Amino acid sequence: MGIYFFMFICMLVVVGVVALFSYGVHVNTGEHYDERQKLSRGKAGTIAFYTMEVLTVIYFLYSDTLPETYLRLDTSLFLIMLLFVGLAVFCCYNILHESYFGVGKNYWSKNYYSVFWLLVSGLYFANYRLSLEEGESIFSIKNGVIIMNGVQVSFVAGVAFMAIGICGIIRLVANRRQEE
Amino acid sequence: MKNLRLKAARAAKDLSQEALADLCDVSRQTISAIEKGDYNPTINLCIAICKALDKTLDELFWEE
Repeated sequence: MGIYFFMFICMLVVVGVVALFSYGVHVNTGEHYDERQKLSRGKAGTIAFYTMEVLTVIYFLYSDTLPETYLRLDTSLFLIMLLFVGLAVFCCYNILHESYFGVGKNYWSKNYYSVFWLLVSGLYFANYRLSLEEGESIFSIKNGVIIMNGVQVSFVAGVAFMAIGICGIIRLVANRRQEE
Repeated sequence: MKNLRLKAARAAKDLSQEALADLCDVSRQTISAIEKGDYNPTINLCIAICKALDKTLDELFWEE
């Protein structure tokens, strides 16, 4: 009970700090989304939501209808993957449709945000590599179920952030060509 | 359908897409999408564009 309560408090503190920081940035930059960007972000949310829904249905159909001799994912591993897939779909759609950054002063340079995502992705892949070297196995299988471990989470996060970074670079190149 | 009249009016004022976007408080890609006919702006944005380019709604957006 004690450790869970402590973790809950920690989560509240982190969410509070991030919310305050975001609000401060929003007030200072006056950044907002124009009408096309709002529409696009709405579509991105819808697509991400339905992607997650479809994956969930496929997962449960696979788990419940196929015989237990088939290899399957642990529910917690699937949920983590689902979150990263949703995040990647939402961000990639917004980046490709130019609705990731709003209108107004941007402290972030749009040219470097893809580098940032690729860097984050690289950190996760480095963590993945280190975990493998330390002897963690890629697949811990128990009764035909792939159990979640840190290695898989790092790999999934690395792939998701790399996808976002690559979309950013594609958009950047397309914009450069458009401006020329 | 491409909005060539908007593009011509912008060029006549010697404004880049970025400059017009700043005047209308939208992103450059939104102006680009309107010119290419990929996005239909709301009446509020149409008015803002017309004011920025000193044109009427008919001159820029009315289809004959």
